Amino acid sequence: MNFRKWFLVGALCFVISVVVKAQSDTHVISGYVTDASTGEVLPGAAIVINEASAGTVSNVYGYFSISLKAGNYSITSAYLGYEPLTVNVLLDANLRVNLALIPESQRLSEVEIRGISRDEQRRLPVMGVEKLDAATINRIPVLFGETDPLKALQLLPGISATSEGSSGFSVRGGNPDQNLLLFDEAIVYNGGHLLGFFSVFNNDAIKEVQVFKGDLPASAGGRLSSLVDIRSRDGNMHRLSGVAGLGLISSRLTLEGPVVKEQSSFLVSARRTYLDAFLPLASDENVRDNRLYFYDVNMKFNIIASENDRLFFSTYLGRDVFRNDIARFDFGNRTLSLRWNHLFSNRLFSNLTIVTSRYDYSLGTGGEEFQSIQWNSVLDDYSFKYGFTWFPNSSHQVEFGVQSIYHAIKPGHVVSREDNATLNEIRIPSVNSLEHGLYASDTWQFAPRWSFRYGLRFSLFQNIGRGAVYSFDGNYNVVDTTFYRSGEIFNTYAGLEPRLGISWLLSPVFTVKGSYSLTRQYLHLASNSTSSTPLDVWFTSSPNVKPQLANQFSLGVFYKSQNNMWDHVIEFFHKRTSNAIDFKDHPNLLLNEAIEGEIRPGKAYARGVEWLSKYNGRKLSGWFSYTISKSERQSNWINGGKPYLSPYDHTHDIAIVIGYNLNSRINLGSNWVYFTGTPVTWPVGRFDFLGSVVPYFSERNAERMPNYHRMDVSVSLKNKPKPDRVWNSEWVFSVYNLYGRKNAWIINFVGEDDYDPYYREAEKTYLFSVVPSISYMIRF
Amino acid sequence: MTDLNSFCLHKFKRILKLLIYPSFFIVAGCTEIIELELSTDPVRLVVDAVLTSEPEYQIVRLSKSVPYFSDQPAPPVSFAKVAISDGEHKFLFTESVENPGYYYISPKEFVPEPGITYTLTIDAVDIGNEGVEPTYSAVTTMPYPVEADSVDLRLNDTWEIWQVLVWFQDPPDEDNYYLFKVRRNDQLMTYRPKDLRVTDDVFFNGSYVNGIWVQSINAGSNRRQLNDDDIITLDLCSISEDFYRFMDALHKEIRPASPLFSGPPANLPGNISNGALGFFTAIATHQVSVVFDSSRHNQ
Repeated sequence: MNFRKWFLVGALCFVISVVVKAQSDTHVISGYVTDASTGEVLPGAAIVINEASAGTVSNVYGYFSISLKAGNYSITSAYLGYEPLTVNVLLDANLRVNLALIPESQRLSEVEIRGISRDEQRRLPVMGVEKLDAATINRIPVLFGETDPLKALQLLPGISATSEGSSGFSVRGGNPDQNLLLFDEAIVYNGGHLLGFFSVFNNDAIKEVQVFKGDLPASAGGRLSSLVDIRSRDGNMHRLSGVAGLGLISSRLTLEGPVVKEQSSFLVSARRTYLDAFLPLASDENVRDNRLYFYDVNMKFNIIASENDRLFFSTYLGRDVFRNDIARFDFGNRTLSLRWNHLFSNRLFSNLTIVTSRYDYSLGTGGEEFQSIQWNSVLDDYSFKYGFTWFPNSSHQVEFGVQSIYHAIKPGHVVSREDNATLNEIRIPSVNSLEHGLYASDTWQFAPRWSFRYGLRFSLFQNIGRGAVYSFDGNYNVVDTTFYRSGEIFNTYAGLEPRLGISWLLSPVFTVKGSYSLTRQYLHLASNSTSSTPLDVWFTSSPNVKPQLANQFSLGVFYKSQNNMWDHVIEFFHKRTSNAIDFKDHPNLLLNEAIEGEIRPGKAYARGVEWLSKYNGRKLSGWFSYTISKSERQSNWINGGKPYLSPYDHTHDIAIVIGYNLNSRINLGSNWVYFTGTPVTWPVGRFDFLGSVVPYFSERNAERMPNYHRMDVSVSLKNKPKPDRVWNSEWVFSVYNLYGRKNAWIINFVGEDDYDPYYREAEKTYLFSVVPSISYMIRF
Repeated sequence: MTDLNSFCLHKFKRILKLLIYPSFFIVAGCTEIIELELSTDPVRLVVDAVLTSEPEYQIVRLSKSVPYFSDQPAPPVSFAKVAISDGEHKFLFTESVENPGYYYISPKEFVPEPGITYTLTIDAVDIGNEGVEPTYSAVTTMPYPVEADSVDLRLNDTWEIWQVLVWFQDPPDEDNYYLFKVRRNDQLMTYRPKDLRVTDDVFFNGSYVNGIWVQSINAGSNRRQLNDDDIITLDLCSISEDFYRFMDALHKEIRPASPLFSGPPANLPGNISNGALGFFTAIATHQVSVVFDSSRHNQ
């Protein structure tokens, strides 16, 4: 463990140097930035000291700390969607302030307050980060009126849906399993309901969504492409409030409020669909008597235990259920997380997280069915993370911590429920592993216009027995099997993951940023289809499967206009992945003990330019995003060793999102998306075999589907405000795919075999034509 | 190590499709025939050579590949020299006069036997009219047959089919691969590749196979497709692992795909050299029959 030793020594040296630099005649201003109306903490809010060229950003739990010499200061805090707040303080001792910002929507006068120049946001050396708050997500028109954070993300540059209507997504040409999806720090393994058409995240319970496209913070690891950090709301600290929504396919209810005022609060949010209600309309008798629904429940409780301690307890439970006479299928996630924020001093913030999370599915025949069988699969995670934010002086902000996750995967167990069954029980052996991370990073403003973020993550992965390791020959045939005892660590991978970023404030409006990151991934999803299915099989790195490793460089120019209304970003990225996972032709990924024999590792390359222009005016707001990119793969065993396009390669990808406030009651929203058709493999000829027509194919992904485009619109109508009314309501009318473009979901080649075996034609399946929907929401 | 992509997994997929179909109703999935331009690769030789252990004419069919949207049968390849060798003897095939491209040999001259390795060679074919006539060849070994004890039918009302069930002892200590055909009064009912069922033995390796469902006969709504005293015969064919993989891939490629389950399509893993398409194999068949009795089988 030489790596670890050097890492610790380096970290220690750094700590000593910074402490020595910290001056003794300074005082600390620290505290939380919160929402004045609900008491929710605001992560990522800017805090600027107007007299000194100093400032900082609140951490994910809303905490900030700045060291200053004694004196009088005015402090301004700003956060997207809130009125900036300025307070004057006399600093002669350490000071704790709570900066409560008022939401813009509750602005009483129409006076524009845009005082703050958000230097802080410009100067942050973090690249490829996009933030969406719940309000923005809510304004975007969506399928069936079901607001969905993951679909909102797909409208940002570099992020695209894996297939029509799917909440699965690909970031910068990477695979969907390369996205680390965190919900209150718990890993979510399958983010989709109902074959991925809806995401598991109920927007009513969400505070904000932050995406890091490759330039992952050192505190996160284990995935190559992105971190999607979703934080739920804590619950209103001041009063009981709620949201109820009635939609075309689902209803939802959120209740939140204080348990003890200003001290503890709760939030409960539940949603259930009634998709089955539509089934009797089906002409097909077989469809009519199906049961089909999903539900999810979020619960959260938090308590401010003392001035220095806060506890959060949150849980998520979501499940999809399909059922009819002959078969049943259900799947879902559940997570439980406990977090403890503790201030060791006003300069040292800590958070301890303990999480258990599970994803499982069960598929089987109905009770009376002949040869009844059942198939179960479970993935369990137990994780622990202790993270610190240290504010040694006004020019450094240090994050460090340690993390361990125990993964227990039971990939598949098939059993017949009959007593004298012919079918053998099949149990794909469990796979257990440990994934550890040790990290430290520092954001350092080393000159007035420069800041530098440098971090290092050390990751360690261990396979633990009981386990079996297959040895393969050059053709991936199993030649030997080695068994390991329970608890025995039989394989270890370790490595350093540097993360670097630099930012230069070129002029008051222009910033240039550059970054480099190395990420490692030890857990992979066995999937070669572009649509997400619930039958996820995750497998770990092992003696046969090396960890995937990605190197990414990005360089960008950021522009923010003086009045803060315009943002422009142009970013270039280049990503190289080694040991990239892909599969042989016709792989068997389900119920396969030797699934490692189906993998044909190779390299992956992605490069591109992303352009985002945002406008945030009083009436009109929205953005334009355009990405030009290329994403390729190469494996010696696939496509004759020749490079081929990734199935997520979209040469051009455009999204336009517009919101317009017609007046205080009516909002109009619209978006338009376009991307180059997905690469596919198509027949380039056919032949006769046993009297049947058999296709033969082009090189892998050598052809393309037709280009995709679609427009959605929505109108939302609020009720008339009355001074004495405590509730307000809103109707939302929306149309998905306004001009009814029949975007191909898949193209099949079909014919009538009994009639003329030689006649074939191309048949396109499209999922959604014009889909109007209506929903009603009431807030109280 | 074998994969488990047997009929059991197909059964799961079938279940999934049954469950998922309603979801598509909800998301209003529709289909539409579209115009699509496909590119075409150069012409290749196609070999269709499935020998059987039955004392019957063995047939090798040679044809050419055609553009995918061609609506014509594949043109035959005539005047080729087709031969099969068992290492000691060489058996020459004769091209049929009425059916060009079909090469045959009579059971008096040649009946393949289990455990023997055969080599197919094809000469005198200039497929691209380029003046080159490479030797196309392929090798296969006929597996030993597995004897079925009995066969029976069982009506499934929901799907309107008779499920064909079979009883046999799967040989222990070896991986076996099976192909199932059904005949009615000696007429093959499963003559197209999509009607053939293949499986490996992972779900029952070494066990006594106690009446598993291996084939289906369409019963229609009036149950009139079979009559009393019809003799229903199941061919329990033992096939090689390579042929199992080829047929499994063939099934994947001739069924409609959906992005939910299908990865990118890919060429069938053929076993003929020099870029020819198709397959050469020898299968060992054992037959077992049951007499249809409407009073029993229509319950």
